[in-house]
Amino acid sequence: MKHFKEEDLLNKKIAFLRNKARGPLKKPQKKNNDKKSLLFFRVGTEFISAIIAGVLLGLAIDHFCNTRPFGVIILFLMGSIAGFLNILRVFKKDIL
Amino acid sequence: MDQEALIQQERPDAEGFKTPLHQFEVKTLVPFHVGKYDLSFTNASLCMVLTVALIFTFFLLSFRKRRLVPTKLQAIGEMIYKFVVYQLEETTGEEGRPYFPFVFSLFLFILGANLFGMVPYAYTVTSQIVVTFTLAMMVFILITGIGIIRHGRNFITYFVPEGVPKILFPLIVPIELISYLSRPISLSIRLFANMMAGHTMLKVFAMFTIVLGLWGVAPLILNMLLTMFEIMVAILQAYVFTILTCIYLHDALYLH
Repeated sequence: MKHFKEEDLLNKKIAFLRNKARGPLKKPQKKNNDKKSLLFFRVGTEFISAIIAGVLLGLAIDHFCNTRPFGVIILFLMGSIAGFLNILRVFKKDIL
Repeated sequence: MDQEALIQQERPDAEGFKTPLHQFEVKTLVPFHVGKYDLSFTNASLCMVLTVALIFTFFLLSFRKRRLVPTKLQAIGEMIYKFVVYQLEETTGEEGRPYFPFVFSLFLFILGANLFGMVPYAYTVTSQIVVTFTLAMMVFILITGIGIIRHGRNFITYFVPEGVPKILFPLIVPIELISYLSRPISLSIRLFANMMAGHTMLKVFAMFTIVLGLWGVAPLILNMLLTMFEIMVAILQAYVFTILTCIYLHDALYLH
């Protein structure tokens, strides 16, 4: 019984190392490279949802740190910048 | 809805008047309370159960006889399968293959729920933001979990783009964080707004048809075209949700 278990473990180790020696699998390129018209569905909602996310984060920070109007204002502005970033990411393939 | 009660009071001859938003009302069919939580079986739950049952029986029937040369129903099932596999493998490659059941179920559920809402008198489940937000949060938590488990401490480097001088970090990192957190919100709002706006428009044009009498032919034809457009939007929104899930999965697996 004992040597069966060792053989099993050895086989598993061989398979694992063989898998690892195969190297990292090829990383495919991102973004939908077939249909351009689908991008327009995303533009409006990504901009608005970034602003909403910023405002919600600002309200949360205000609630916990008592910085009553400034948190929401600053994070609203940062949210709108993030919205522009989102729109940029929809159209550009490689920009981060 | 008290708007309808008001109309009934003012004009007693307007029987069965419904506002265009009446179709989104959630009615409890089987009440079921646990403590203070209302877990009743509503008409939305009924439509979700029927959607899942429909998808299940479709795939059960289409793959009953697994012929090498497929029958017509099996060909449809294979086309849907190959469609989602192609999307997933194109964006995430081989490493994203274990997540295929989740992506496939997501695609089929949203497609089924959207198309089920086009049936007259059926409830559109995805027009409630609770449902779409749950789906989007499931995707978001999965993506974040995959990223953290796979990359550990390097997960933070996702929020720092390459080639940024170190002084700008306090500005760039919160903005990237907000952009990352806006993903579930954008996923849920896109699906919810498209479905709700489409169905409200259908109902408004239907009301015009009734009010105009004989000239109601024009809104009726417009309603026909709008229904075709809504079916296209239903299928498209399911596709967009799935392809975005695949793109975020690529982000979680590789670019961290």
